[in-house]
Amino acid sequence: MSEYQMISDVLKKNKVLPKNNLTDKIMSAIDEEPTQMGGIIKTNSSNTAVLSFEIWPVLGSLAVLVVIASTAFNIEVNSVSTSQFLAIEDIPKEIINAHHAATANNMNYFIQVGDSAK
Amino acid sequence: MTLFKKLLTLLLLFSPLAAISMDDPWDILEDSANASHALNYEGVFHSQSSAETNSTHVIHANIDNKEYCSLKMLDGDPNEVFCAGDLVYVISQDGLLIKKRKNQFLFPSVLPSDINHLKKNYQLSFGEKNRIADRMAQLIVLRAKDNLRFNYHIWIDEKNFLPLKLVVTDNKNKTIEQSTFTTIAFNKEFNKEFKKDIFEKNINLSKLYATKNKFVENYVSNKFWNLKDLPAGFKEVDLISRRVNGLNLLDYQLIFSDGLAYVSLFIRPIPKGTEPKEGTVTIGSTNISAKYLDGYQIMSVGMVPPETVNTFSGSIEF
Repeated sequence: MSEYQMISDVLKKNKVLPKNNLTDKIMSAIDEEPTQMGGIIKTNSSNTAVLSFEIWPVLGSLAVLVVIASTAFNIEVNSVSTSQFLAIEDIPKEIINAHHAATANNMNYFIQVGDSAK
Repeated sequence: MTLFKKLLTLLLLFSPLAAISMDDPWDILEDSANASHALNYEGVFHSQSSAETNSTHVIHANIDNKEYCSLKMLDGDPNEVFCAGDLVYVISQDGLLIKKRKNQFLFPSVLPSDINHLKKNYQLSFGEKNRIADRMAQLIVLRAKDNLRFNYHIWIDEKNFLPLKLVVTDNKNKTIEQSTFTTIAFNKEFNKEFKKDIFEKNINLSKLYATKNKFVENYVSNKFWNLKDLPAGFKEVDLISRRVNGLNLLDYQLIFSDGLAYVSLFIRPIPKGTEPKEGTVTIGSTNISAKYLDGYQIMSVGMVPPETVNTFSGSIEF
């Protein structure tokens, strides 16, 4: 906390002296505060703040979040996978080359793939 | 002119036609398949698909009942292919590649040895004679009996039965792919010097080449799939398994054929984080169909109608 002083007090030489033993005073004030040791405080305690903890509503909320996330982000939750529609650029070149290498009657296709030799 | 002479004249005029109609017309295809393996020839042919065109210089020789061939690309990258028996050596800018020839029928050797398989799936008819590469050629049309395959038009040299031109059309008679000789010469004498001149400049036939790629296997110990309702006329002709790069898993390539058309059916495990794909697309003359099944991406690829690749993709069950 900052200390403020009026200008008039300074001019009148009414200085506000810095407080002494400030640290000790703060520590003693902390010591006077109650310490909370347990997780659940009885609601009828007059000296403590009450925190009520219900687990089942929280788990239910989490489950709903998981379902929403899996739907929104297409996370696989089982082994079935959705397929995409085939486009020309999806065809691996090695598939075409392997087919022609094994079956072609056109020499241009035939030379494209084979076993490298040394 | 006496009646006898008139009859004789008529007989001589129509005997070539009579010869074709009296013999089994399918025999001409068998003769053509044999010719492409037995004849010595050298020429240039031009290939065209929806995506690209290119010209190739070819030399084919049959020496002591073993086939040798040399094919050199005349357009684009100067790639070359050499064949010795069932081994094929490909020389490209990437270096030397080696393949084992099983189902590759490079033009003009496009006909299978088993013509009976073709009879079930195609209707044969004769067309006009045309002049191809300065040779007279008879047009043979193999028209699909159903909508599961395309049509094949083959011009066969009328003297030695070598295919000189091949055109593949779809069910709307649109050309998908074609190859045709522009020049060709037969009866060239090739002997062991041919092997020395052509092969040993680039390949040492006595050397045992070790393949760098150890991932291709042709042995499948545990087939975990069944095939049902395959398109009519197609039978499985090969099975290749490969290790997926970086994973201790195999993917599989099943190859089917009706004698002329080929379809590959791929069974590939889907890595985590990869979305499977479904649908049908066309790349050039090739149709591709994809389906997802129990953690595997199923893809079928072939120069066949889209309905056929769709049927193949749906034929797998685990």
